[in-house]
Parts: sequence; C-alpha cells; structure tokens
Amino acid sequence: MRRLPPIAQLTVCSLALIVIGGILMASYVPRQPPLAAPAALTAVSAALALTSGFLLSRLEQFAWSRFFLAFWWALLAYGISAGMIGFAFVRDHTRGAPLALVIVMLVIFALDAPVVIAFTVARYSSPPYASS
Amino acid sequence: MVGGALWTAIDLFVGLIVGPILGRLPVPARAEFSARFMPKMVLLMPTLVLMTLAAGFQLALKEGNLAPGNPNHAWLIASYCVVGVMAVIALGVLEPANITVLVEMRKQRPDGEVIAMLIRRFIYTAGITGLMQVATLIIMTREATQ
Repeated sequence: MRRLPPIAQLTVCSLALIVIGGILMASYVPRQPPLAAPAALTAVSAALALTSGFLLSRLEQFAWSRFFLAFWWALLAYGISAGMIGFAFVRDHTRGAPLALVIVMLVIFALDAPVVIAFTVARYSSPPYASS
Repeated sequence: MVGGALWTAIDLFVGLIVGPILGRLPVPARAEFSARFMPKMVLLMPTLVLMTLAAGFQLALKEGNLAPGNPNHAWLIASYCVVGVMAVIALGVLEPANITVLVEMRKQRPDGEVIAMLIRRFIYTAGITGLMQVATLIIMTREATQ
C-alpha cells in the first residue's frame, strides 16, 4: 500500500482543536468568554491546517481532479454551515474580538472538513488504487 | 424539538432496521441500495443536525439555561462535549468514508477491498457514537427533570 503523509490525521486534529475552542467559547454564552485558551487552540489548529495544506501541495501522482471536484462541493456545503453558525453568533450579540476569533475558527472549520473529505475521496482514486 | 426527534429517529431507524436488513442482502443489491440511499442521507443529515443544534442553542439561551447559575448549565456543557466528539467523528471519519464509498460505487469497476476497508471504519466508530447517543439521552432526561 502507498504511504501518504498524515494529511487526514493532521486535518482532523486541526478540526478537533477548533471544536474544543468552540465548546470553550460557547460555554460562556451569554457572558464575554476569556479568549486566551480558544485563541491558542485556534493558532495550533491553523498551524496544523497549514502543515496539512503544505504536505498536500507536495503530493505527486494524486487524483487532483477528483480532489477538487469533492473539495469545491464540500466547501460550498461547509461554507453555508459555517455562515449559519456565524450568523447565530452575530444574532446572539457576539461582537469585537470574540466575534473575530469565532470567524477565524469558522473559516478553519469550513476548510478542514472539505480537505478531509476531498483527500479521502482522491486517495482511493490515485495509484495504486487507480491510475490518476 | 422536531429536528432532534427526527435526528434520533432516523439514526435509530437506519442503525437498527435498515442496517441489519442491508447486511443480509447480496453485495450487488447492497451497492445498488447504498448508491441511491447515501446521497440523500449526505444531504439530509448534516442539514438536520445543524438546524437542531442551532435551534437547541437558541432555545437554551432564551429559556435562560445557559446562565451560569442555572442548574442545567453544567449539563449543557456536557452536551456540548458530546456533540463535539460526535462532530469530530462524523466530519473527520464517517462523512469522508461515506462519500468515498459513494464515489467508489459509481466507478465502472468498484474496488471491493476499498469499500470493505472504509465500511470497517463505521464499525470501529459505531461503539463511540452509540455511547454518545446514550450520553445524549441521559443528559436530555437529566435536563428535563431538573
């Protein structure tokens, strides 16, 4: 079996950190949440997502057409989901730095989920599973 | 509430009724059924889950359950953790596997080994999601009786 870099694992870890940060923030609603821990989690999550993106960009013999087909559709779906979650926070009067942090978290979420889906789809359409 | 009921009902119906029936069907029939069933589920379930979570959060906020002094507050945080675990499993493991199985089945010559390997993921994670369902029921009961 062809060994690929741990792109899915890194992206899922990034997603998990965003979820933990989101839980921390949501647990303070309707009060103002302390931002240090969620911000740190978001920073680590962003670093993992960037690492995963870098490793992904270096892949050769990969079913890129299949990857982008799945990625754009999933991005559309998760972009809408993230937008709706963002709207709920705005509607609940989240403002300033907490809102900015929530938006960054939602952007990472909206990118992580499509990357995991598209990578998983494309890896089984790439050699040795199929000729790309 | 309707969203939550639909979510749990569909989950249990698929897991306890459709799943076992599907398991006893011949592989081509299973593939045929899944190829038609999965796209609908991939559209339905995330929408239902998102709506239920957003509506539940707004309801808890309006009823004051999110206030720190409320006896339900700690249980709501526990429910966020349950949802968090389920979200990571669903988004990171189950949905990518679902969509990959779907893509594989639409190929001219689907790779049975790949499909079997991906379906094993469901079995590995079924125990965790099952536990989370039980935890959700406990939390809901607890909140309703506080």
